[in-house]
Amino acid sequence: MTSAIVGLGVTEVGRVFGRTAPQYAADAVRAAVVDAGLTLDHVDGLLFGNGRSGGLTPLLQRDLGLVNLTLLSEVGAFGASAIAMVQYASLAIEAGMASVVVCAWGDAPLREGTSAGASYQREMLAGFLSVAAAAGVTGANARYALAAQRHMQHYGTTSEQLGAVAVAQRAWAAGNPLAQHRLPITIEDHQASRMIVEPLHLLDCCLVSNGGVAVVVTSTERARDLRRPPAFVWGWAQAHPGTLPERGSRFGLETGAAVAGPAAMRKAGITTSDVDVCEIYDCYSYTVVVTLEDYGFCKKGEGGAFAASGALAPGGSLPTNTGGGQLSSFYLWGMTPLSEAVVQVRGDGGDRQALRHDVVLVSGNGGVLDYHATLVLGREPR
Amino acid sequence: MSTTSDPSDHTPLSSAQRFPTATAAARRDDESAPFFDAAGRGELVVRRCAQCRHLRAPEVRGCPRCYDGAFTWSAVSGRATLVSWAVAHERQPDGETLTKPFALVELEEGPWITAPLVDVAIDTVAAGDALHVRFVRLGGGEAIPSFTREVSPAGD
Repeated sequence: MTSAIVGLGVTEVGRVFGRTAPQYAADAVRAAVVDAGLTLDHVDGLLFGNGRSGGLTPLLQRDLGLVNLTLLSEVGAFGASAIAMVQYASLAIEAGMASVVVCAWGDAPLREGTSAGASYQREMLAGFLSVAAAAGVTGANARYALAAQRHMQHYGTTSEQLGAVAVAQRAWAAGNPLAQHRLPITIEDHQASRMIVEPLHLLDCCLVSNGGVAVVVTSTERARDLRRPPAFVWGWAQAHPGTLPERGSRFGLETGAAVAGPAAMRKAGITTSDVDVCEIYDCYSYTVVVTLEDYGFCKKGEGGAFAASGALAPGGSLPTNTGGGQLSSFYLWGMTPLSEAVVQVRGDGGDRQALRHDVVLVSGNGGVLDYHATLVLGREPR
Repeated sequence: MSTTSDPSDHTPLSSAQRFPTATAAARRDDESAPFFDAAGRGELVVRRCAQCRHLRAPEVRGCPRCYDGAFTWSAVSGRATLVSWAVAHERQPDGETLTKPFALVELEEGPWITAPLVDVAIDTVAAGDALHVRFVRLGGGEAIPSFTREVSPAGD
């Protein structure tokens, strides 16, 4: 592996207003380049992804005043996009196509005066999507509820175990000044939080956030000369199972993480016992449970018990979502776990810094467990 | 005492902004028209691959076995088993919460359908329960399949 993440830019995030998605992305790029100790002159590759509000196009190049790019593209794999961008940046650098690639994200789904739920309201649908909507399946909440319920029925996972994920991540968020929610919660708080789509409570569901995040990727040789400790790219994989709605489907029980996780760790030359910190895409508490199982941190079906054991929380054996994650910190899709991974590898976590941070595993999950990417980052070159 | 805060609940909003439509209506498009036509006749249809005859869910465009796109609409028995379920909690303008149970069911022929779950006490269901289709019109829209539990031969 020959690349490293050398710059990180995060704008103000959360219930913040006044910028569009492209503006947040551009702000994040500028911050990331400064963080890397570079200038925009050095950037010759630009990758970007869109969230809920859309709006990012190749015109982002012009917004930034970048000239003479040799790599420019939108990357669209929903929640797997952030890691995919780092993968493609790395491949381009390895191939000599570019030398300094910025991976940018911005989203502005929240409008002032509108609730978080309304920000994700579907437009009027027709056809088969409207059949599902008429049934009450109006978005991701409903589909993940079906997935979580299947996991609960099949493996005995309980709502309280999902709550343990939310409680652990909120405990990490207490140490993160950027987190949208920092006040500690208990399992009782989780159980008392209103039902969104049973079995998922409000505290099982991720936030809705405005803001932008960008990372700068370059070669390991270049990385050594720059301003911040690099996060070296050790391994990666993608897996998109194409799970079909028919007999034999493992929907809700197993995800692409079961393929991409082992593949990425093999590429990195590690096993789960080498991983110090996990940054897991947590659109729902349940997503963390099923992903950690699929990665092999516990036996299949025992993710709930693993969470309930306290392993994921501060002081536990497997620090997970150390900034609070999408549940408590902010939700900018795959950039949330990716940005926290870079913070942890660098040792920049302050009050939330994991003691061991040599190897950090990052997940990206898109659609309804449809699209998956895994990334392994290391504090030293591999 | 809860120590949580949910900013989305603290923002003053109009009623129309806060509460989604109580019941979305199913509407046809060109692709789904034959499905809705059949539903209007009380018939549940799925796609049968013209090449290999594999049956797939109504919205799946390509055959997962042979990748061919050609298909015919094929009637199925309407019998199914319960795979998973959930209950949407929709807050209404009058402050009440409307609960809408729905299910993921496996037709006895194999394809999966997402549909309302009707006339069932939700706390009594279990994966594998025998179900059968019943067509309903929600919100004044097209007829769509819903599922309800089989009654035992002796009756309940």
